[in-house]
Amino acid sequence: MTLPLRKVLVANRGEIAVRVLRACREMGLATVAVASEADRHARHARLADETVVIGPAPPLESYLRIEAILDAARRTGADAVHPGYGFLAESAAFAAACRDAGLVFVGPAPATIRAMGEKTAARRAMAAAGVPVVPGAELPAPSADGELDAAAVRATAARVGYPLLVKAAFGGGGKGMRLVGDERDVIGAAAAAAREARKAFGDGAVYLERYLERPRHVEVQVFGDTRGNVVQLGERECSIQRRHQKIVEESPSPALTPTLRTRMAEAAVAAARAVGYVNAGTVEFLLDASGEFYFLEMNTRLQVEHPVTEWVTGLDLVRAQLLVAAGEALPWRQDEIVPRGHAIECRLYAEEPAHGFRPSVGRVLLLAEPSGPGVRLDSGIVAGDEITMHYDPLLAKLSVHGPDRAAAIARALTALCDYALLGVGTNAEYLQAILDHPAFRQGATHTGFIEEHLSDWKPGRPQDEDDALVAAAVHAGLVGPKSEDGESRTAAPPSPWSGLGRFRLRGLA
Amino acid sequence: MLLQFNTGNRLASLEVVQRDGCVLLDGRPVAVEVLDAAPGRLELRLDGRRRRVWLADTGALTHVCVDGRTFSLVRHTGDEESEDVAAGGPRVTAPLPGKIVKVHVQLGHAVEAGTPLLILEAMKMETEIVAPLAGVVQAVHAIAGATVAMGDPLVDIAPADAPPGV
Repeated sequence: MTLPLRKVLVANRGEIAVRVLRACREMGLATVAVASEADRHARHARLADETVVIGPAPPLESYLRIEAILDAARRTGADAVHPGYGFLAESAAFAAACRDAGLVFVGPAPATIRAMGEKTAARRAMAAAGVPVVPGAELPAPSADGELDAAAVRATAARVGYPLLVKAAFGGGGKGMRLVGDERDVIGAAAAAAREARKAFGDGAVYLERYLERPRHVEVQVFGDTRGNVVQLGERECSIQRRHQKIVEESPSPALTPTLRTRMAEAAVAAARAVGYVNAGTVEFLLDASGEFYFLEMNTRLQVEHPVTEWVTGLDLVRAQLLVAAGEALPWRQDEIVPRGHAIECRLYAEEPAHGFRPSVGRVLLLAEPSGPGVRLDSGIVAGDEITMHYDPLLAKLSVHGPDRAAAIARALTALCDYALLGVGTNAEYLQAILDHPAFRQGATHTGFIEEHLSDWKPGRPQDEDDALVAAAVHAGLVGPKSEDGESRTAAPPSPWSGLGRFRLRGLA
Repeated sequence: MLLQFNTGNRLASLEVVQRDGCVLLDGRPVAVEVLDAAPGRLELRLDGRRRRVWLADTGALTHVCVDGRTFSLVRHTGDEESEDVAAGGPRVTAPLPGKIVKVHVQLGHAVEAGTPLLILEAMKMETEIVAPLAGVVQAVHAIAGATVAMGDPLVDIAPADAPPGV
């Protein structure tokens, strides 16, 4: 294979940077990582052929600095940039800057990113293409000092109807989003959402959308190339969310009938064709209890949960992204894409589910990861890493594949039992509680699942807590095995893990 | 030898009965067999159940992972003092590291339980910190724009039923 690409810069960090770097290596492409000063020795930074440090830890001073990333590409002679997800992945300005600098941007055209990135414009485009959208209305833009016209907000909200969601026009991932139950809260929520949106996305424009009760989140993976081919790779259901962020995803969706699946796939392809979509993208829908579905948004990038699609289709989405970016045709025809079995992904986050999912920080003292048939772990960390508040708390993604949904659930639960991360709180036990819940096993999922079933969840099954206490006593030297002469000796010598944290792994780099 | 650990749920005591095989956990005997021990890892048989356990220490904390469930046990020495008592009233501290976006209250403000005190931003999400009880603001440590660490004092509140300034 002779591609016009030789060297790819990955403009991201964490597990997704690792994922993309691996695909590049498999394709024989040279790799460049960028890293903040805090990530100098991070897993992704060590995997690449070359690493360029692009600034201090805060993303605004490193991973979000377009100039610094372009400069790194120039200095290393990279000819393509893969943005991953998050950070600059959906920045039309970044895609355009790459193109202007003579770099191949692994993603859609800047104009497509812009059109889909402004959620209000995307809604209009989809409605025009005949794709159903959630009822809603745009708000007048905030004044220069960020103030909203209260009377106009109230009037617009009354037209949309309560309960409603305030959403950032340029947002995503739950940031700049507020649920409003009645008129009393709408002004405060709109102002807070606008403030959060301005900070996170650089634009405080917000709009209102009818809040659908107990919908499912079902999305369709689409892929287009520069020759005008568009295919769909089936759906993913991502209804299990906390703070409007997905934590468990699966394919196929337990909710879709063959007819509904076909209709949704056709709508997704129509949406992609309407905007001349090139490269990997996702069309997100809300599916209500009556089987009606509505366009939510289109994500113009690789999705966090792409592994579940890779599992069921057996295809490599990142490899295809690089091929299409290089001007090749899509490597698969629609009739070659045949989903098989069932896949589930669980997002492992550094957070405390019992305390409102607040982020946890600290040093990873010990890390043990699951493996085995049908088990995949996309991880961005190694033991010794410091988890800070600067970045998204996603540590790793566990995904599994099985012949059917029950087998996939059992496989995911078993793998979660084998995931041990000490020193930083994680949601691993919480994920087990989700997968083990009767409602989840029945496939009775909706976006309010967590609030309905797990709002008063507490960690620490009594038997495990007792076992942990006894183990700690053994660890402290209280109990030891019998030695051969019948005398007892200490089982666990003082742990060498405690003193070595920073030095132990940093020293290798 | 007696050990006490605070699990967050309870204060548990462990006492050795036979050094090679039995401990009393809160008075209940547990048969312990150490099958293998390596740095950070123990293979145990507890009352006949085989368990693989991961462990790591940081200061007074022992982190333990059993079947994907993690516990942070605090070795208890019995002389901890409540910060609330030391401060003369309930102290609201930062539940997570972040940046103070806005402070709603001033010295002397009367607050109800649930009154918003300030907005803290962490991981790009805004969290509203509210008063845990009714009372009068006795001290404001939080400054808008400042960065705080977990546990840093934010606001002190004198409970409504206690005279302020004590």
